[in-house]
Amino acid sequence: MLRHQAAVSRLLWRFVRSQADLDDLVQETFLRMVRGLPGWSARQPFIHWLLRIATNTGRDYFRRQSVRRRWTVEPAGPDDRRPEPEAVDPGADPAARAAANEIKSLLAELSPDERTLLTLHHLEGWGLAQIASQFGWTLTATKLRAWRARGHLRSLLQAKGYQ
Amino acid sequence: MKIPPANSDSRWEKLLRAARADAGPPADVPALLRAVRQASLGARASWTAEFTALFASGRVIAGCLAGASAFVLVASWHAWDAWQTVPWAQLLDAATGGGS
Repeated sequence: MLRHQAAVSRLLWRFVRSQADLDDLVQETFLRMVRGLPGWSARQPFIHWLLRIATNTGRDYFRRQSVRRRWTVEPAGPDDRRPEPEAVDPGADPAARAAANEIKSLLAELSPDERTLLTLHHLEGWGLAQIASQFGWTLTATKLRAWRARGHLRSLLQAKGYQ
Repeated sequence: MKIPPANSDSRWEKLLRAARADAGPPADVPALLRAVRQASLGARASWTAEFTALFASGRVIAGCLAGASAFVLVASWHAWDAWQTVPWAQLLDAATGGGS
């Protein structure tokens, strides 16, 4: 567990913006791992299986956020949105952290599945085949989802003034 | 998959390049270990698991059988004694011919 927690933590950081959320998701991932351990087959590498649990945990986190956002009062305007608490990490590169936060804020406007797909593809640099195998989707379905997500993101970027 | 595909030096692409370099803070490992240890201990807490574990050994089954036999022997002895002292049992005994 100590050997793999850094990889899990690094992956899940792409999904969250605060230390508290990161700790919650890492714990949730390893608790799911403990519960699912009897079902793990030694035919697949342990780290692949663990990262699959982590990506599913991240996707569930996006889904919970989406539901919570739907059932809470909408802010009056873009300027009234309260910023999410961000991690205080003295070792971080401020420019990289700011860029990552900006991208995470933009992706938060998409649906949970699209947000997961683009997070893994853009921030983590995964290929579509790898994403498809992680979620058990076919490659064709993943390409279709990516195409739709890209279209939504493009219109979002145009609306926000990105070139 | 480039967004937007036509312009690789767009603001979005620059953001992406910078964001990929963002390394998150380390997770709280002691809290993680505590949570996983508690979950591991709690997983065996169901009564069915405990019951199965209790009777997994052959010695326990033999001991239970011996204990149950001893209990039946002592309980029969006491029941026989009680039968002798109950008045209606004596009446019943007399009515049936007083065989005992």
